[in-house]
Amino acid sequence: MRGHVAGCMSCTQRVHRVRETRRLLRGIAEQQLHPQHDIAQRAVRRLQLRHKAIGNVNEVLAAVRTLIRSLAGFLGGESPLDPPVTLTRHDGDASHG
Amino acid sequence: MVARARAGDLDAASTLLSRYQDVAYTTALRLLGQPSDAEDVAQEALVRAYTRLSELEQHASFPAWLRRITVNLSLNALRRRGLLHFESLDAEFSRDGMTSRDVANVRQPSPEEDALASVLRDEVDSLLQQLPAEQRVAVVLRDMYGYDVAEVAALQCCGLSAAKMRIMRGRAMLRRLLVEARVLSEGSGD
Repeated sequence: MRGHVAGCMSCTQRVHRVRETRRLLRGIAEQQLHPQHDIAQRAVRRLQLRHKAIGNVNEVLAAVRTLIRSLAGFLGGESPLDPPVTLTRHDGDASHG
Repeated sequence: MVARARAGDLDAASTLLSRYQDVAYTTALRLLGQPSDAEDVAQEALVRAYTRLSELEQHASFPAWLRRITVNLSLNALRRRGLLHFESLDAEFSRDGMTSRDVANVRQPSPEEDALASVLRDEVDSLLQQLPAEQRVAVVLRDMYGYDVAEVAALQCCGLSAAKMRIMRGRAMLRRLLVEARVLSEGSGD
């Protein structure tokens, strides 16, 4: 193929044209255009809202958890102020020797 | 900067995103053609790049990664609009050991070169928009950003031969437009 292209005037010209077009495009590839608006600031605002929303969801979840503990304490006759029972790995570890 | 942003520092994220917003916008604009669409996609790409920063390998280039995210989002947008339908020419870029994705900031141009380059860039960018979307995307990815044909085919959800055809037709049409606009001369080429 390369041998044919090297010996054929028409193919050589076509290859040169392709290379020339590609060179031109590569030359401008890294030249950046500027947006009309500050999209980075908009993106950051969205990220801040998202962080805030996550914070709010965490607060709601914490409130629900407290409510459930209180209800469980009330129904089970325990004080809602009792500290929550935390699971330990002792049992599981012991079963594995 | 990337490390600080990755640790959740929103100020660092803001600086990082401001620094590279042009990369996202330019990529999106070249693929989509409409400035308002490009701004929307670029903004989404910036948000996504930040929220997925933990997936960026430690020594990988942030702008190259951001560009990739922008390319994917832009192609999704084109697909949603029905402008991109579902269905290796050579290795010139890799011959010199670097792709056009890595060419950034090799040499700082003079102000005169800068001005000339900016006129040329605007001309070529505007001519690119005259290509059909599938051909424009193929040419931009292949010839501007150095994606190989297999990547172009995968991103456009088409076969290798279809991708090659789009690149070839896009190049031919772009060349004709460049000649008509006197950016290139008819018989130019060594």
